[in-house]
Amino acid sequence: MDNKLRLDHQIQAYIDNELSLSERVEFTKQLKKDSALQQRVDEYAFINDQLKMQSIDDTEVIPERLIASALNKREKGFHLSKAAGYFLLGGIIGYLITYSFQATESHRMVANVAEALIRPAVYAHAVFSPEVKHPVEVAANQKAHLVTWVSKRLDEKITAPELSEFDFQLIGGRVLPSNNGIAAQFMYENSSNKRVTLYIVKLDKKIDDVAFSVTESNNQSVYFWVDNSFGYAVSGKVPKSTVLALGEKIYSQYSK
Amino acid sequence: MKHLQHQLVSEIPALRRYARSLLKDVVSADDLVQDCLEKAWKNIDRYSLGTNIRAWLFTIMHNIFMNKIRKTKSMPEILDVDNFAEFNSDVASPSAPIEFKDLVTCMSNLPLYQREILSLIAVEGLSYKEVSNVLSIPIGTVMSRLHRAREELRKMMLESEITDIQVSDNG
Repeated sequence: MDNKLRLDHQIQAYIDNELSLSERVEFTKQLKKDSALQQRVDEYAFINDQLKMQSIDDTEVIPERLIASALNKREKGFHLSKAAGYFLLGGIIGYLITYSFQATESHRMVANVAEALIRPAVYAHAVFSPEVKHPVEVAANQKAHLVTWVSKRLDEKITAPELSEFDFQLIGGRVLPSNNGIAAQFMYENSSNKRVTLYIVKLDKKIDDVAFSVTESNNQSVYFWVDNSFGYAVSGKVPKSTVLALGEKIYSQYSK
Repeated sequence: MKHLQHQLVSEIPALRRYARSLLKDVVSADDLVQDCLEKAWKNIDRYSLGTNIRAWLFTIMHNIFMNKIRKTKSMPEILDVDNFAEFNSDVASPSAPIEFKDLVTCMSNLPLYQREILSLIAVEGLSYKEVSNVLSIPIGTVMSRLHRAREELRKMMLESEITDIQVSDNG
């Protein structure tokens, strides 16, 4: 048996959290006995942290041709709206992508709407999700009433999406004022007591372009998109991938 | 499909990082990203919703890149040495002595296959299993390469520290 090779593998797996719990315990014991090994491991870990840090630059401007290919659009005739760029939102730095094949007034409108939409959605999440006693106005045990109320106020048949596949259960919702008109917030909680909210706002203009933004900062993520006359935002202290997955589920349920 | 579009756009920064670990020139790296995204859409039916889309995209990019290398290797007269980072690090470069503590520069002095694996594991956070799939190599090989890469980098950084100490001995 080649013990040296195994040790080298163990070192890597230890640094990358690929050891099982028992393997990890064993290895930690070994480290305590061997200060030279501990030193080496510390140096590797330091390098790892440095690598992680210098790579996080999601603010670099993305060339239009890459966005076009990601959206499966032909490069020719694809224009990023002049409004596309960077915005700061209470500590969340993200980028807003809007695209259209013709430069129209609507893309500027979308950018304003996006800005006006994300801010209240994130704020509403921040205000209500930490609430212990009153996180919602109408609880999930009165779901039918909640949905009727929201639909009436937003003047549209609105349902509370089913997110149990992601371990998120509806705890309830409320109606809210916003600069764009009336909005609704549905709050969900998972078995770790983590909460996400779905914010829906009725826009006063129908928007043909598709705008979206997904941002992650300090473990807070927001995924926002516009569809016809509604804006949607999924927010929570979850990774980007989670809000994207939830958003996809919500979108598919609403498209039926 | 709309959300798949959104997901792919949000993966662009990671794709660009990975491409730059393979190709030093930013424009060529972006070309590789574009090729990767176009191929991804052509093969979108092969992607299983809910699985790690980044690992899937990286596999595509890795394969495109390997095919490029194979093709140009067989035609050495058109091999673009500036673009293939592996060759850059094998060639002695008088303008790049190993006296820097800059991690990025140390990384760029690693051979391609070491730089690539460090990028995937340490920067992009892929698991050993995912990297094993992306690169089509056994997990044992992943760990061995990783070890060599980290050891190389560690030596480079220690060397540069020693140089630093010597320089500051006057003060």
